[in-house]
Amino acid sequence: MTGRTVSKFARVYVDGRDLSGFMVSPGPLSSVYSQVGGAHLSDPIKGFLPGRVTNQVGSITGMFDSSSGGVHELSATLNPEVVRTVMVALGIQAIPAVGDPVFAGDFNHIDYITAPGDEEIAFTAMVGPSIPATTMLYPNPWGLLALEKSTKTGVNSAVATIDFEAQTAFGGYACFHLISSDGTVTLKIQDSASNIDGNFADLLSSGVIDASVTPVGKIVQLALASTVERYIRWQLTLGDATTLVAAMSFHRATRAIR
Amino acid sequence: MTGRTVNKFFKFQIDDSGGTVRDIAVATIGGVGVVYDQIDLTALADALNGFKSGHGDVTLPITGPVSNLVVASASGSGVAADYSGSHVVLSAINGGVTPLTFGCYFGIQRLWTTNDPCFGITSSATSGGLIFDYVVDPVTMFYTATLKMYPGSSEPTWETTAFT
Repeated sequence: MTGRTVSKFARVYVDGRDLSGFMVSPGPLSSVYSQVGGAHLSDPIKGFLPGRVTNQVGSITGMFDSSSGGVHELSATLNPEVVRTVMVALGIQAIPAVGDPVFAGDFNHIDYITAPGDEEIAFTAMVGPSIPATTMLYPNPWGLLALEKSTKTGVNSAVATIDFEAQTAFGGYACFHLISSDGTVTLKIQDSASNIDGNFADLLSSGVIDASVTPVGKIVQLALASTVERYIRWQLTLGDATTLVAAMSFHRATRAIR
Repeated sequence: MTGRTVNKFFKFQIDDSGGTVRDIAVATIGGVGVVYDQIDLTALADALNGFKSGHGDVTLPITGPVSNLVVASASGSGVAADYSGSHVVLSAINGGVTPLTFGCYFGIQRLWTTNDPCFGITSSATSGGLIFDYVVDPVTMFYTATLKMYPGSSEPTWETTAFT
Protein backbone atom coordinates (compact mmCIF):
# COMPACT_ATOMS: atom_id res chain seq x y z
CA MET A 1 0.00 0.00 0.00
CA THR A 2 1.11 3.56 -0.62
CA GLY A 3 0.20 6.84 1.00
CA ARG A 4 0.25 8.37 4.47
CA THR A 5 -0.13 6.44 7.68
CA VAL A 6 -0.41 6.55 11.49
CA SER A 7 1.76 5.36 14.35
CA LYS A 8 -0.26 2.29 15.25
CA PHE A 9 1.09 0.62 12.12
CA ALA A 10 4.75 1.07 13.08
CA ARG A 11 6.68 -1.94 14.36
CA VAL A 12 10.04 -1.97 16.14
CA TYR A 13 12.47 -4.89 16.22
CA VAL A 14 15.60 -4.79 18.36
CA ASP A 15 18.15 -7.59 18.41
CA GLY A 16 15.60 -10.05 17.10
CA ARG A 17 12.91 -8.99 19.57
CA ASP A 18 9.58 -7.49 18.52
CA LEU A 19 9.27 -4.64 21.01
CA SER A 20 6.19 -3.09 19.41
CA GLY A 21 4.06 -4.19 22.35
CA PHE A 22 6.37 -2.59 24.91
CA MET A 23 6.76 0.97 23.72
CA VAL A 24 4.65 4.06 23.21
CA SER A 25 7.00 5.87 20.92
CA PRO A 26 10.23 5.14 19.09
CA GLY A 27 12.25 7.89 17.49
CA PRO A 28 12.26 10.38 16.01
CA LEU A 29 14.25 8.56 13.38
CA SER A 30 16.81 11.05 12.27
CA SER A 31 19.38 11.28 9.52
CA VAL A 32 21.08 14.67 9.85
CA TYR A 33 24.06 15.91 7.86
CA SER A 34 26.33 18.65 9.16
CA GLN A 35 26.10 21.89 7.18
CA VAL A 36 29.57 22.86 6.02
CA GLY A 37 30.21 26.17 4.31
CA GLY A 38 29.02 29.74 4.28
CA ALA A 39 29.84 32.37 1.68
CA HIS A 40 32.87 33.47 -0.23
CA LEU A 41 33.06 37.20 -0.75
CA SER A 42 31.59 37.24 -4.21
CA ASP A 43 29.00 34.50 -3.66
CA PRO A 44 25.46 35.71 -4.37
CA ILE A 45 24.20 33.85 -1.31
CA LYS A 46 25.45 31.60 1.49
CA GLY A 47 25.88 28.00 0.36
CA PHE A 48 26.59 24.75 2.17
CA LEU A 49 27.61 21.19 1.48
CA PRO A 50 26.56 18.19 3.57
CA GLY A 51 29.30 16.83 5.80
CA ARG A 52 29.05 13.57 7.66
CA VAL A 53 25.66 12.27 8.70
CA THR A 54 24.51 11.30 12.20
CA ASN A 55 21.78 8.69 12.22
CA GLN A 56 19.83 8.10 15.42
CA VAL A 57 16.85 6.07 16.51
CA GLY A 58 16.28 8.50 19.36
CA SER A 59 14.33 8.08 22.55
CA ILE A 60 12.17 4.99 23.00
CA THR A 61 9.49 5.49 25.65
CA GLY A 62 6.89 3.23 27.16
CA MET A 63 5.35 1.84 30.31
CA PHE A 64 7.58 -0.18 32.60
CA ASP A 65 6.98 -3.87 31.97
CA SER A 66 9.09 -6.72 33.29
CA SER A 67 7.54 -9.28 30.99
CA SER A 68 9.79 -11.68 29.17
CA GLY A 69 10.98 -10.38 25.82
CA GLY A 70 10.36 -6.74 26.71
CA VAL A 71 12.44 -3.61 26.91
CA HIS A 72 13.29 -4.08 30.61
CA GLU A 73 14.61 -7.59 30.07
CA LEU A 74 16.69 -6.33 27.15
CA SER A 75 17.94 -3.19 28.89
CA ALA A 76 18.52 -4.35 32.44
CA THR A 77 22.01 -5.58 31.54
CA LEU A 78 22.96 -2.40 29.69
CA ASN A 79 26.64 -1.59 29.61
CA PRO A 80 28.63 1.02 27.69
CA GLU A 81 29.54 -1.42 24.95
CA VAL A 82 26.05 -2.47 23.96
CA VAL A 83 25.17 -2.09 20.30
CA ARG A 84 21.62 -2.80 19.15
CA THR A 85 20.45 -3.90 15.74
CA VAL A 86 17.30 -1.85 15.29
CA MET A 87 14.65 -1.99 12.61
CA VAL A 88 11.67 0.39 12.60
CA ALA A 89 9.15 -0.59 9.96
CA LEU A 90 6.50 1.98 9.02
CA GLY A 91 3.38 0.12 7.98
CA ILE A 92 1.41 2.17 5.47
CA GLN A 93 -2.25 2.11 6.59
CA ALA A 94 -1.77 -1.51 7.73
CA ILE A 95 0.77 -3.51 9.70
CA PRO A 96 4.11 -3.46 7.86
CA ALA A 97 4.16 -5.30 4.58
CA VAL A 98 6.80 -5.99 1.95
CA GLY A 99 7.84 -2.72 0.31
CA ASP A 100 6.99 -0.49 3.28
CA PRO A 101 9.66 1.97 4.48
CA VAL A 102 12.18 0.75 7.05
CA PHE A 103 14.77 2.61 9.13
CA ALA A 104 17.46 0.20 10.30
CA GLY A 105 21.04 -0.04 11.45
CA ASP A 106 23.37 -0.76 14.35
CA PHE A 107 23.12 1.84 17.09
CA ASN A 108 24.65 2.45 20.50
CA HIS A 109 22.25 1.84 23.38
CA ILE A 110 23.04 4.81 25.57
CA ASP A 111 20.68 4.64 28.51
CA TYR A 112 17.68 3.07 30.18
CA ILE A 113 15.90 5.32 32.69
CA THR A 114 12.79 4.50 34.68
CA ALA A 115 10.59 6.94 36.60
CA PRO A 116 9.25 5.19 39.70
CA GLY A 117 7.98 8.49 41.09
CA ASP A 118 5.23 8.63 38.50
CA GLU A 119 1.97 6.86 39.17
CA GLU A 120 2.38 4.89 35.99
CA ILE A 121 6.05 3.94 35.92
CA ALA A 122 7.50 4.84 32.59
CA PHE A 123 10.85 4.30 30.97
CA THR A 124 12.95 5.97 28.36
CA ALA A 125 15.73 4.25 26.52
CA MET A 126 17.98 6.34 24.36
CA VAL A 127 19.24 4.52 21.31
CA GLY A 128 21.84 6.89 20.10
CA PRO A 129 24.02 7.46 17.12
CA SER A 130 25.06 4.75 14.74
CA ILE A 131 28.27 2.88 15.41
CA PRO A 132 31.49 4.02 13.75
CA ALA A 133 31.83 3.91 10.00
CA THR A 134 34.63 1.40 10.30
CA THR A 135 31.75 -1.01 10.81
CA MET A 136 28.68 0.75 9.35
CA LEU A 137 29.49 1.67 5.74
CA TYR A 138 26.30 3.27 4.47
CA PRO A 139 24.99 6.73 5.50
CA ASN A 140 21.35 6.34 4.45
CA PRO A 141 19.46 4.26 7.02
CA TRP A 142 16.27 3.99 4.96
CA GLY A 143 15.27 0.92 2.99
CA LEU A 144 12.28 -1.30 2.29
CA LEU A 145 10.78 -4.24 4.15
CA ALA A 146 11.71 -7.42 2.32
CA LEU A 147 9.91 -9.84 4.67
CA GLU A 148 7.21 -8.76 7.08
CA LYS A 149 7.32 -10.47 10.47
CA SER A 150 5.92 -13.88 9.70
CA THR A 151 6.25 -17.58 10.36
CA LYS A 152 8.12 -19.54 7.70
CA THR A 153 8.66 -23.26 7.31
CA GLY A 154 10.37 -23.42 3.92
CA VAL A 155 12.13 -21.62 1.12
CA ASN A 156 10.67 -18.75 -0.90
CA SER A 157 9.64 -19.64 -4.43
CA ALA A 158 7.56 -16.54 -5.05
CA VAL A 159 8.66 -13.79 -7.37
CA ALA A 160 9.82 -10.46 -6.00
CA THR A 161 7.53 -7.65 -4.96
CA ILE A 162 10.35 -5.13 -4.54
CA ASP A 163 11.16 -3.70 -7.95
CA PHE A 164 13.64 -0.83 -8.13
CA GLU A 165 13.11 -0.66 -11.92
CA ALA A 166 16.83 -0.69 -12.60
CA GLN A 167 20.08 -2.24 -11.55
CA THR A 168 22.25 -0.11 -9.27
CA ALA A 169 25.99 -0.22 -8.57
CA PHE A 170 26.28 1.44 -5.18
CA GLY A 171 25.88 -1.51 -2.81
CA GLY A 172 23.56 -1.69 0.17
CA TYR A 173 22.84 -3.68 3.29
CA ALA A 174 20.30 -5.98 4.89
CA CYS A 175 18.84 -6.08 8.37
CA PHE A 176 17.87 -9.55 9.60
CA HIS A 177 15.79 -10.26 12.69
CA LEU A 178 15.33 -13.92 13.61
CA ILE A 179 12.67 -13.61 16.29
CA SER A 180 12.24 -17.29 17.05
CA SER A 181 13.23 -20.65 15.62
CA ASP A 182 13.43 -24.27 16.68
CA GLY A 183 16.94 -24.65 15.32
CA THR A 184 19.44 -23.20 12.91
CA VAL A 185 18.55 -21.24 9.80
CA THR A 186 20.20 -18.91 7.31
CA LEU A 187 18.28 -15.79 6.28
CA LYS A 188 19.05 -14.21 2.93
CA ILE A 189 18.29 -11.40 0.54
CA GLN A 190 18.32 -12.36 -3.13
CA ASP A 191 18.34 -10.29 -6.29
CA SER A 192 17.63 -10.88 -9.94
CA ALA A 193 17.60 -8.98 -13.23
CA SER A 194 14.50 -10.90 -14.29
CA ASN A 195 11.65 -11.59 -11.92
CA ILE A 196 11.64 -15.37 -12.34
CA ASP A 197 11.94 -17.77 -9.41
CA GLY A 198 14.88 -19.75 -10.72
CA ASN A 199 16.90 -16.67 -11.65
CA PHE A 200 17.41 -15.23 -8.18
CA ALA A 201 20.87 -15.37 -6.62
CA ASP A 202 21.99 -14.82 -3.05
CA LEU A 203 22.99 -11.22 -2.42
CA LEU A 204 23.34 -11.10 1.38
CA SER A 205 23.24 -13.80 4.05
CA SER A 206 22.92 -13.77 7.81
CA GLY A 207 25.07 -16.86 8.05
CA VAL A 208 23.86 -19.73 10.21
CA ILE A 209 21.90 -18.33 13.14
CA ASP A 210 19.70 -19.87 15.82
CA ALA A 211 16.97 -18.16 17.82
CA SER A 212 15.84 -21.22 19.75
CA VAL A 213 17.31 -19.70 22.93
CA THR A 214 18.08 -16.05 22.13
CA PRO A 215 16.64 -13.96 19.29
CA VAL A 216 19.13 -12.66 16.77
CA GLY A 217 19.36 -9.31 15.03
CA LYS A 218 22.08 -8.56 12.55
CA ILE A 219 23.18 -6.11 9.85
CA VAL A 220 25.03 -7.53 6.84
CA GLN A 221 26.57 -5.17 4.29
CA LEU A 222 27.66 -5.41 0.69
CA ALA A 223 31.01 -4.00 -0.31
CA LEU A 224 30.71 -0.40 -1.49
CA ALA A 225 29.89 -0.10 -5.20
CA SER A 226 28.49 -3.63 -5.37
CA THR A 227 26.00 -4.30 -8.12
CA VAL A 228 22.42 -4.93 -7.02
CA GLU A 229 19.92 -6.17 -9.57
CA ARG A 230 16.47 -4.70 -10.06
CA TYR A 231 14.33 -7.25 -8.20
CA ILE A 232 14.75 -8.10 -4.51
CA ARG A 233 13.19 -10.88 -2.45
CA TRP A 234 13.74 -12.68 0.84
CA GLN A 235 15.02 -16.21 1.06
CA LEU A 236 16.07 -18.72 3.71
CA THR A 237 17.83 -22.03 4.11
CA LEU A 238 16.70 -24.30 6.91
CA GLY A 239 19.42 -25.92 8.95
CA ASP A 240 17.92 -28.14 11.63
CA ALA A 241 15.03 -25.69 12.16
CA THR A 242 11.60 -26.63 10.90
CA THR A 243 9.85 -23.36 11.69
CA LEU A 244 10.90 -19.78 12.39
CA VAL A 245 9.61 -16.23 12.76
CA ALA A 246 11.64 -13.53 11.04
CA ALA A 247 11.61 -10.05 9.52
CA MET A 248 14.08 -8.65 6.98
CA SER A 249 14.77 -5.37 5.22
CA PHE A 250 17.02 -4.33 2.37
CA HIS A 251 18.63 -0.91 2.10
CA ARG A 252 19.79 -0.21 -1.45
CA ALA A 253 22.36 2.60 -1.81
CA THR A 254 21.28 4.88 -4.64
CA ARG A 255 24.35 7.06 -4.98
CA ALA A 256 28.09 6.74 -4.43
CA ILE A 257 29.00 6.97 -0.77
CA ARG A 258 32.02 9.14 -1.47
CA MET B 1 -5.40 37.32 -9.82
CA THR B 2 -4.12 39.72 -7.19
CA GLY B 3 -4.90 40.16 -3.54
CA ARG B 4 -4.65 38.19 -0.34
CA THR B 5 -4.94 34.46 -0.03
CA VAL B 6 -5.02 31.48 2.34
CA ASN B 7 -2.61 28.62 2.84
CA LYS B 8 -4.76 25.95 1.24
CA PHE B 9 -3.63 27.35 -2.09
CA PHE B 10 0.08 26.81 -1.27
CA LYS B 11 2.10 23.99 -2.80
CA PHE B 12 5.75 22.93 -2.65
CA GLN B 13 7.84 21.22 -5.31
CA ILE B 14 11.37 19.88 -5.28
CA ASP B 15 13.59 17.74 -7.49
CA ASP B 16 13.77 14.05 -6.78
CA SER B 17 17.05 12.16 -6.90
CA GLY B 18 16.77 11.89 -10.67
CA GLY B 19 16.38 15.64 -11.17
CA THR B 20 12.63 15.56 -11.89
CA VAL B 21 10.45 18.08 -10.10
CA ARG B 22 7.82 16.55 -7.80
CA ASP B 23 4.98 17.82 -5.62
CA ILE B 24 5.41 16.71 -2.00
CA ALA B 25 2.98 17.22 0.86
CA VAL B 26 4.06 20.04 3.17
CA ALA B 27 2.19 20.91 6.36
CA THR B 28 4.47 23.66 7.60
CA ILE B 29 7.25 25.62 5.99
CA GLY B 30 9.65 28.08 7.61
CA GLY B 31 9.86 31.63 6.40
CA VAL B 32 10.01 31.63 2.62
CA GLY B 33 12.52 34.19 1.36
CA VAL B 34 16.07 35.42 1.70
CA VAL B 35 17.36 36.75 5.02
CA TYR B 36 20.39 39.00 4.82
CA ASP B 37 23.01 39.29 7.54
CA GLN B 38 22.86 42.65 9.24
CA ILE B 39 26.42 43.93 9.51
CA ASP B 40 26.81 46.49 12.28
CA LEU B 41 28.92 49.41 11.02
CA THR B 42 28.19 51.72 13.94
CA ALA B 43 30.94 53.97 15.18
CA LEU B 44 31.06 55.46 18.65
CA ALA B 45 30.22 58.98 17.63
CA ASP B 46 27.39 58.01 15.34
CA ALA B 47 24.03 59.47 16.18
CA LEU B 48 22.40 56.08 15.78
CA ASN B 49 23.24 52.49 14.97
CA GLY B 50 23.79 51.81 11.31
CA PHE B 51 23.82 48.55 9.35
CA LYS B 52 24.49 47.27 5.88
CA SER B 53 23.27 43.98 4.50
CA GLY B 54 25.75 41.16 4.11
CA HIS B 55 25.27 37.82 2.44
CA GLY B 56 21.80 36.41 2.20
CA ASP B 57 20.78 33.02 3.51
CA VAL B 58 17.91 30.72 2.62
CA THR B 59 16.94 28.15 5.24
CA LEU B 60 13.69 26.36 4.56
CA PRO B 61 12.56 23.91 7.24
CA ILE B 62 9.60 21.87 6.03
CA THR B 63 7.36 19.35 7.73
CA GLY B 64 4.63 17.14 6.41
CA PRO B 65 3.03 13.71 6.52
CA VAL B 66 5.26 10.76 5.69
CA SER B 67 4.07 9.12 2.50
CA ASN B 68 5.40 6.45 0.15
CA LEU B 69 3.22 7.28 -2.83
CA VAL B 70 4.73 6.36 -6.17
CA VAL B 71 6.26 9.41 -7.85
CA ALA B 72 3.98 11.43 -10.12
CA SER B 73 4.52 14.24 -12.56
CA ALA B 74 4.55 17.64 -10.88
CA SER B 75 1.43 19.73 -11.15
CA GLY B 76 1.47 22.76 -13.39
CA SER B 77 -0.49 25.96 -13.62
CA GLY B 78 -4.06 25.91 -12.38
CA VAL B 79 -3.87 22.29 -11.21
CA ALA B 80 -3.91 20.84 -7.71
CA ALA B 81 -0.71 19.29 -6.39
CA ASP B 82 -0.22 15.70 -7.62
CA TYR B 83 1.75 14.29 -4.73
CA SER B 84 4.77 12.07 -4.94
CA GLY B 85 5.59 10.31 -1.69
CA SER B 86 7.42 12.68 0.63
CA HIS B 87 9.45 9.76 2.01
CA VAL B 88 10.29 8.47 -1.45
CA VAL B 89 11.63 11.88 -2.54
CA LEU B 90 13.25 13.20 0.64
CA SER B 91 14.96 10.02 1.90
CA ALA B 92 16.78 9.76 -1.42
CA ILE B 93 17.92 13.39 -1.75
CA ASN B 94 18.91 13.90 1.89
CA GLY B 95 22.65 14.51 2.05
CA GLY B 96 23.04 14.69 -1.72
CA VAL B 97 25.38 17.21 -3.39
CA THR B 98 23.50 17.75 -6.67
CA PRO B 99 21.75 21.15 -6.70
CA LEU B 100 17.99 20.80 -6.65
CA THR B 101 15.19 22.82 -8.20
CA PHE B 102 12.61 23.85 -5.64
CA GLY B 103 9.56 26.09 -5.68
CA CYS B 104 7.15 27.53 -3.12
CA TYR B 105 3.92 28.38 -4.91
CA PHE B 106 1.41 30.87 -3.50
CA GLY B 107 -1.90 30.54 -5.29
CA ILE B 108 -3.88 33.76 -4.92
CA GLN B 109 -7.41 32.73 -3.97
CA ARG B 110 -7.10 29.80 -6.37
CA LEU B 111 -4.86 26.89 -7.24
CA TRP B 112 -1.47 28.36 -8.19
CA THR B 113 -1.67 29.72 -11.69
CA THR B 114 0.99 31.38 -13.83
CA ASN B 115 1.37 35.01 -12.74
CA ASP B 116 0.71 34.14 -9.11
CA PRO B 117 3.82 34.54 -6.89
CA CYS B 118 6.33 31.74 -6.42
CA PHE B 119 9.74 31.61 -4.72
CA GLY B 120 12.51 29.24 -5.65
CA ILE B 121 15.15 28.42 -8.21
CA THR B 122 15.57 26.30 -11.31
CA SER B 123 18.68 24.26 -10.69
CA SER B 124 21.84 24.09 -12.74
CA ALA B 125 25.17 22.41 -12.19
CA THR B 126 26.13 25.22 -9.84
CA SER B 127 22.89 26.56 -8.44
CA GLY B 128 20.07 25.09 -6.43
CA GLY B 129 19.06 23.81 -3.04
CA LEU B 130 20.24 20.83 -0.99
CA ILE B 131 18.49 18.85 1.74
CA PHE B 132 20.56 18.45 4.91
CA ASP B 133 18.34 16.42 7.20
CA TYR B 134 15.37 14.11 7.07
CA VAL B 135 13.77 13.13 10.37
CA VAL B 136 10.68 10.96 10.75
CA ASP B 137 8.61 10.90 13.93
CA PRO B 138 6.88 7.49 14.04
CA VAL B 139 4.40 8.83 16.61
CA THR B 140 2.99 11.58 14.44
CA MET B 141 4.13 10.03 11.15
CA PHE B 142 5.37 13.47 10.14
CA TYR B 143 8.76 14.27 8.68
CA THR B 144 10.96 17.32 9.06
CA ALA B 145 13.59 18.32 6.54
CA THR B 146 15.77 21.37 5.97
CA LEU B 147 16.76 22.94 2.67
CA LYS B 148 19.71 25.29 2.26
CA MET B 149 21.53 26.54 -0.81
CA TYR B 150 24.42 24.94 -2.69
CA PRO B 151 27.81 26.76 -2.38
CA GLY B 152 28.12 29.57 -4.92
CA SER B 153 24.48 29.18 -5.93
CA SER B 154 22.52 32.06 -7.40
CA GLU B 155 19.89 33.52 -5.13
CA PRO B 156 16.43 32.03 -5.27
CA THR B 157 14.01 34.67 -6.47
CA TRP B 158 10.37 35.60 -6.49
CA GLU B 159 8.88 34.83 -9.86
CA THR B 160 5.51 34.34 -11.49
CA THR B 161 6.28 31.33 -13.67
CA ALA B 162 7.04 27.80 -12.55
CA PHE B 163 10.53 26.54 -11.75
CA THR B 164 11.55 23.50 -13.80
